[in-house]
Amino acid sequence: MTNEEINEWFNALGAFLTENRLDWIKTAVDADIAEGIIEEVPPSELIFKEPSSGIVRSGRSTEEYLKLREYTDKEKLLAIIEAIEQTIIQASDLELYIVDGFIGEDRLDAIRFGGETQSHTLETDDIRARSRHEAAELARKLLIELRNEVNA
Amino acid sequence: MNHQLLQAIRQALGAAITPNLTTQSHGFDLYEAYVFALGIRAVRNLHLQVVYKNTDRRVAPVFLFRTSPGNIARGLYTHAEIDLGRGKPAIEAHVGVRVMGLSKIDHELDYSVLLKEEAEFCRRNDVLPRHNKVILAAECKFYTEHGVGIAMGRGFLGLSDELGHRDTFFVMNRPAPRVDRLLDKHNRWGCFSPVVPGSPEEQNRLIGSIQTVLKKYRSCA
Repeated sequence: MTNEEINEWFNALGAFLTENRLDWIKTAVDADIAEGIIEEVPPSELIFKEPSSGIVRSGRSTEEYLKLREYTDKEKLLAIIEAIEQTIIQASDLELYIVDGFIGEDRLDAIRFGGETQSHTLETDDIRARSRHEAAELARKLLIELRNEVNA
Repeated sequence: MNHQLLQAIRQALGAAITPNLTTQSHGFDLYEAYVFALGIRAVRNLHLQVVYKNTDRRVAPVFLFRTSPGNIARGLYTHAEIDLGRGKPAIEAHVGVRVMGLSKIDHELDYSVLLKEEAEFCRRNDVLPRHNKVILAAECKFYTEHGVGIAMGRGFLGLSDELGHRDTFFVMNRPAPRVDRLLDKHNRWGCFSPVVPGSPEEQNRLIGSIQTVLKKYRSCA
């Protein structure tokens, strides 16, 4: 996949999130990207004296250091794919787990999520959870296909 | 760009979105409910009896989870009443209730198990349960950015202090190596991540840890 295609995919997935009122996921991905990737640097890669002093030695400390670096374009795309997997897809897994437990095993009629007012109440049941999970399973496979294209 | 693949992904994802993600809670309520369900699994593994009840003490035909933290006495929400056996005090499992910490300020517990006697007293008097009546508590985090996750990990350590170092669990759905390291140093249970149905190992570690705390409590009570 070319760099141009990688950026197109990143923007297309970001646009999907925004269109579906999931801007908060995009915001979280952007925040991670802005923060950068933290990596450990082994002492052998560190310079412990100013080169101007004439003596440059490395590897004297046994402690590792942390270093911040920027995401590459490929890592940015992989981050948004991972974010979609860890939110949309996993939320569907969670919903099904809850429905199987409370409705399947415990024989409750339904599960509701409610705020202080009735207008904020959401309800889930076996049929809705399974239908969303079927779509999530397909999406999971398609995202693996996309990840393979990115890594190819 | 593979437009056919993009179209297929858009279509499948669009049909997979649970409404809990598009509300203000951003999936947190769903994750707390899932952790609550894992707690129920732990209780069942110990062969303890569970009854779901609403705030008015009636048996609940529908489980109503809180979407924002609240007072244990308010709203017609559902909790689990757990029978530890003859001669043992009954306990309750809750989602999203506020409790009073050591320093007498209130704290939100995403998931908690507390003494039924204390819960009933608090419902009667419309007051918050005290920290020393909490048997275990969990902070549940659903997809938070890495930086925020670290900050929450630090906040969790403060919460743990406020609960008098009771058994407190930090549970996340994202792998979080930095939070892992922080909590491994400072919390006896470390960090539970990623806890999701697709990662049975960590999911079972959490269930097993809840079982350990409940068993220990039952034998000492």
